[in-house]
Amino acid sequence: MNFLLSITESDYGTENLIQSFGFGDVLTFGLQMLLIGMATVFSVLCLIWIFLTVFKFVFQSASNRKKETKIVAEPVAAVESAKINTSNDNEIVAVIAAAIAMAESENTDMKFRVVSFKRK
Amino acid sequence: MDAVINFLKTTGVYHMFWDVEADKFNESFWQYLVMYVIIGALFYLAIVKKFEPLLLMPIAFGMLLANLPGANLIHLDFFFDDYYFAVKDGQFTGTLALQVQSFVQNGLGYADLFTVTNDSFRVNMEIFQSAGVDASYVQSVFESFVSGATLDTDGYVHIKMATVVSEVINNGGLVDILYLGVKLGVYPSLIFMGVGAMTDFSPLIANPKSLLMGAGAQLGVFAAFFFALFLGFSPMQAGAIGIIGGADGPTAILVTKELAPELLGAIAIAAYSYMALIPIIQPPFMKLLTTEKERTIKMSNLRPVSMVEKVLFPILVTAIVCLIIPDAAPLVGFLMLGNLFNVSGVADRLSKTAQNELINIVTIFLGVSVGATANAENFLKPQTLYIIALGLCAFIISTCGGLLTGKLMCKLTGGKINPLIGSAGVSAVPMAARVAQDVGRKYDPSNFLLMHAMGPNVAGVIGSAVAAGVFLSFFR
Repeated sequence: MNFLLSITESDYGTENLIQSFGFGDVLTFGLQMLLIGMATVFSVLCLIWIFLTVFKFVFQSASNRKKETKIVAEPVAAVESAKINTSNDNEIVAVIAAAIAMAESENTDMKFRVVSFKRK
Repeated sequence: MDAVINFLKTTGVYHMFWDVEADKFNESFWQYLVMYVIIGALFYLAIVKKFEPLLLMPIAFGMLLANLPGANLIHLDFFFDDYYFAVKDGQFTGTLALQVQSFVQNGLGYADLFTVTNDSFRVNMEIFQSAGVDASYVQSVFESFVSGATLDTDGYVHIKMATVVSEVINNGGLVDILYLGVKLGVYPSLIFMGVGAMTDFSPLIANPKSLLMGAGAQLGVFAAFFFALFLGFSPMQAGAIGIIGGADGPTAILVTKELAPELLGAIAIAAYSYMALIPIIQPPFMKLLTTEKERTIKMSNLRPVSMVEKVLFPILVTAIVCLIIPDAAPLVGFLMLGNLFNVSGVADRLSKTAQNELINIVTIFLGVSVGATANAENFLKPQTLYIIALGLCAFIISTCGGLLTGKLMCKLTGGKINPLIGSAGVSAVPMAARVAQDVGRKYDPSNFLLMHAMGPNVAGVIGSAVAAGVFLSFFR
């Protein structure tokens, strides 16, 4: 790339520009580099910004959809578990009581034992 | 008695005060003493003040090793073209001088095909081009005579890296071998991999606007480049000096070893010292450029970031940055590879290695070998003072650039962004973000800016790597 005035790519190396060229040339070259550099940094990071913003919409809407389905699904599950609880309450109490009694029986004399369960 | 005298002549003290080659009193012995004072100051900063001790201590010790006369722990000559081939007073010198001489006499046959001045040699490629001879033919003839070097299309001689490596392995010592990792650009990338594994990019993903502050805080890089040109530095040297403003040690080292290896010691020391001094450098400018009302702005909570976003982020950033600026790939690529190890959750062992053992080992090697490049002869030059001044200038302008971008975003968002977090855009993770947090809490103790400041902070790492890529693509 040829910069304005006389500074060219072949002068980029180890050349002391301020000795070889005038103040104006070096000023123009320095300002051009500043603008090109900052513009490049901004444009690359802006591109990432755009992609991340797209990310946000894609993944937030996806997670929102998940939440909605969860909200719909949860009451059904709750109702089902509630039903199970009510139908099995007595059995569960009996099983737990029997298990505790069995465990305790190892240490103390057992006065009763569970013979059977009946479904109501 | 002779044995005792011979022994005394091998001591470092003798070498310090007596120039063995010229067989006279060494008038520049004071340079060693000045270097010892500087080294002492760096040890004080690292050990007593605990400023970046993990890096400043190995760097200071490397400097000490390089400034022990007679120890010859590092041979910097091996890493510069002049050791192999140079022209001094019209005569070829260096280990490849005879081969180049043979090429001149027997290779192409005609003396007017070459230009030999007092200090340079060049093959006049334009003569071959006008005669319809392909440049690659001239290059192949050159390489058949001078196996350790290449000829570029402009007709200048460059030493092959293989020649340097071979010289180091045959005649170098431990520090020379360690320095190969800098010269080949291995250490900065490996350190970046560790940094990537340690960095959480979630604040940036949750608030991508922070990227703009990370970009704004690169202003100091290009401003210091601009000023350096006026102080008599070449564009390549100015680029290496400017990158100090990126506040990123590995980036500064990578760019400097490519563009201006002769300044490596001064630039690395300036970069790491200023990074350590961020809590002192930044706050005055943070207060200067923001109002009290702005400093007390509370930012809303960041949204939670999903696992998929965290995994896609490093892949996406690598693709975008490296497709636009391939020269940034050694930094951004490895930064993101380390991050992917961490966030993927399936490479725990690799992630732990990258952020612990590997980065620690590489830090020791890097610190010692970079410090060892700062010998008295290279370091005690007026240009070192310029570099230190320009580095400070770059840091300050970068801080101001980030703050002003933050201020602008504060205005545009109707006061939703606290501009203090813009100062964290200078990279230097996580020190700069902590400074933003501390200054913010000074004005409102219930204000927690740390996570918000981490966004611009990690954006600054990407931004400085992009700025480095810009310099490399222009000047390498």
